[in-house]
Amino acid sequence: MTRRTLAGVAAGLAALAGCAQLKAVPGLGAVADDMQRRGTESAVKVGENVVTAAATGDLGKKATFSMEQEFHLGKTVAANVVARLGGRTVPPGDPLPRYLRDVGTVLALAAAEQRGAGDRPYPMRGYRFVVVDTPQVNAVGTPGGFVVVTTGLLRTVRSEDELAGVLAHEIAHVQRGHVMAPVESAREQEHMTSALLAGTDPIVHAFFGKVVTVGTDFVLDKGYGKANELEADAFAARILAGAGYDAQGLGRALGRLQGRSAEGGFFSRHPPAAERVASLSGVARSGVPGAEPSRTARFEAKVRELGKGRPSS
Amino acid sequence: MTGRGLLLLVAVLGASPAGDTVVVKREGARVMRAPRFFGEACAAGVAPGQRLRLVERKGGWARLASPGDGRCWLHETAWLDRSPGELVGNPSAASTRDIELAGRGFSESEEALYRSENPSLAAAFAALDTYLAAAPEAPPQELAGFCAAGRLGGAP
Repeated sequence: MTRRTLAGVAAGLAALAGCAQLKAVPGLGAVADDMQRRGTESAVKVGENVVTAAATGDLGKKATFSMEQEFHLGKTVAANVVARLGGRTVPPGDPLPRYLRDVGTVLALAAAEQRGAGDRPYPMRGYRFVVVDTPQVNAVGTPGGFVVVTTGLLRTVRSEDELAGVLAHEIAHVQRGHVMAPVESAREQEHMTSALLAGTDPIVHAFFGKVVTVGTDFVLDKGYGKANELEADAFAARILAGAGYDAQGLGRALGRLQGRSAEGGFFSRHPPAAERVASLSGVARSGVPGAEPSRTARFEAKVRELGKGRPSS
Repeated sequence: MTGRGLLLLVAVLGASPAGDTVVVKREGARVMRAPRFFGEACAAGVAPGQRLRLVERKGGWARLASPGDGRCWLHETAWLDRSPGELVGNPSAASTRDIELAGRGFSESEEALYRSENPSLAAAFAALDTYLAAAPEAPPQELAGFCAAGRLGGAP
C-alpha cells in the first residue's frame, strides 16, 4: 500500500474513529501522528485568525455555536479570568454578591428588552455576577453570561449608578457577542475545517484550548477593539436608561478613572477614558432620570461590608 | 435539507409566530402578567425543556396558553438559541465540511477534559460552580422589592 493510499485510508478511518484508534492500526501510526500534528498547527492558526477577525472587524463567513457551546466556552474563559485575578472569590450568598446580582439582574433584563436582531440569545444559565477580592480595578464579561467584578472596582466607583454603568458595559459585550462573533467568524475557516475533517477529538480539543486562551487575553488584556468598546458604551447608556438608572453612570465612572490606565485592568484595555466620556455625552443626554439618593445609600452600605467578607479561597 | 438550505437558515431555534409552540431553553425565565420584565410576575414558572403553546405575540413577548390560563407572558429570550454548525454570511463559499465544524466540541465533556488538564484552575472552576448552584439572577419578588426601593424599572 502506498503512502498516498495510506493517507486516504487514514482520513476515512479518522473521520469515523479518530486518531487515537487510528494509531492502533498497524502501519498507520505515523500517518495518524502527522495528521494530529498538522491538525494542532491548524488549531493554533485558527486561534490567530480569531484575533485577526476581531481586530479587522471581518464578519464574513461564520459558523454558529449554540448557547450551550457558548456557555462551556465562556465558563472556561471565566475560570481563567478568576484565576488570573488571584482566585479569591467572595461566596455568592454573601451580601455583596447578592447586591451585585440584584443590580445586574435589573440591567440584564433591561438589555434583553432592547435586544437587537444580531444579538446573542440570552445566556442559557442566566447571568452570574462573580465577585473577586483583589485590589485590581476590573470588570470582565465573558460569553455565557459570566460577569466578574473585583472588589477594587467596587471600592473605586462611588454610587450604584456608576456601578450599574460598568456592569451594563459588560452585559453589552456579552449580548452583542463581542467575543463570540470573532470566534464564529475566524478567517480562513477552511483551514480549521480541513483539520476537523479528520474528525479527531484532539484537534477539536486543541481548538477549544486555543480559543479559551485567546478569549481570556481578549477580555482581560487586549479588549474588544475600539469600535466594539464604544458600541458597548453606547448600548450601556441605553440599558441604564431602560432600567431606570442614570444614563450617565458609566460616563461618571469613566471620568473618575481618567489617567489611571497605567494600573491595568478595566481601563487599560479600553480606548482612553476622555474619548469614551466624550462619545457617551451625546448618547447619555437623552432620557436621563438622574441619580436616586436611596440607591447611593444602599450602595454605600454594601461597600462598607468590604473587608468584613470571607473570600472563599 | 441541503447544505445550501442550511446556509440560508437564520441560526435561531424556536422563533415562532403566535399559535406555535416553543421549547424553553434557559434557566430562570420570568413569566409576567404583562409583556414587560418590570412588573408583576405570574405565580407559575417555566423550566428548561418545557414545551409551551403561544396564543399571541407582541414585540419580543408571547402570551402563553399555559401556565396562567392565557394571562401570562414570556419573553422570547426564554426560548431563543442558536443552532450549532450552521453558516451565515458568504454562503457561496460554504460547504458541508464547514457545517460539520461548529457542531463539534465546546461541550460539557470538552470543558471536563480542559479542567482535568489544568488542575491549577480547579479552585476557580469550583467557585464558578458554587455561583451556578445559586439561583440564577434575582427571583421575581426579591427583584420587585429591589426595584421599588431604588425607583428602578418604572417604579414610582
